Amino acid sequence: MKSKKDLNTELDLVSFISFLSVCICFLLLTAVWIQIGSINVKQAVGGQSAAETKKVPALWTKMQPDGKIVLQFHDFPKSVTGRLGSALTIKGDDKGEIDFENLEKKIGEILILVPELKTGLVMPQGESKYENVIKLMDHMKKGGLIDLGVSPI
Amino acid sequence: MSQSILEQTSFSSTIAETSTLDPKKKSGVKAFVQPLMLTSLVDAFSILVLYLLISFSSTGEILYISKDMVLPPSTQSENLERQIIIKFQQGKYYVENEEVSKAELFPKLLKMKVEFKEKYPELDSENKIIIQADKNEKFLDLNLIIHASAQAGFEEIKFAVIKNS
Repeated sequence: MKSKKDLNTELDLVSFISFLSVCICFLLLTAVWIQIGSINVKQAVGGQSAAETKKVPALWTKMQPDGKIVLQFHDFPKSVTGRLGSALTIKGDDKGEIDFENLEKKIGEILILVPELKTGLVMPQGESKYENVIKLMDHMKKGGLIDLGVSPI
Repeated sequence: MSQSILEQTSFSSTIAETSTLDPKKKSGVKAFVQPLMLTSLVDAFSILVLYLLISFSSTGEILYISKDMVLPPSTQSENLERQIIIKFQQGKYYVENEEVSKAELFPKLLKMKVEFKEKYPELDSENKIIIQADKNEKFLDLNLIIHASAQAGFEEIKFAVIKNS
């Protein structure tokens, strides 16, 4: 007579649980909770000569005191500059900070008129806060300006 | 008294007891200790390990950020890659964690450009630098880095930021 064979087999999970516990401890200890990234911009000085540079529409954003931003239109189609002028000023908010919402809105409006606009140049002042310079770049990128440059003082 | 005390109080397998094919449940024997169902624990551990492995980031190794430095937040940031790092902290400039004076910044960058290319030939690090500074710094202090890097032939600047989604 054949002996009855057990149909169920049990796995020894103790070693597996130990391995998982060690893994979790290691990963928790080495985890980086702050995600660091970078905002990439081009140097606005040097590089090619003026003759070599291809003329593409560019939006220059001058940071002024009291949160004021001056948008200058370079190499824009004449039909657009005839309508908007050569520059546009965005006033700061009541606290003297940059009105980023209004800025993004204006960039959106400009991009509707000039869809080929991809280049933006940030021109901060010496007293401009680094955080505001990054915020400005952030909003310009968000608005659709992919190629950003920063101009030294 | 055919069974010993050990046999009477020994652990019984939950899987074996609940098996429909060949149940192994002891009748009349009351176990003092209930066996633990480890399946859910193993599942939870596996999910945790997978989550931690996926979210494992190596970008933290690139920059050393001291306690008193807060990087500016950004929603449009890209992943950080290893490049030459220029740090401005408490009025001092550091190139690859080595303190340099204002006058030394340009020659140091020129030297680092060559050294970095030899050290990391696999990286596309040519003409790129990382600027690391506290969010409350004035742009005037960073202006010197931009000027020096432009003179040294660096065309692209990467401002280190904290990713905000």
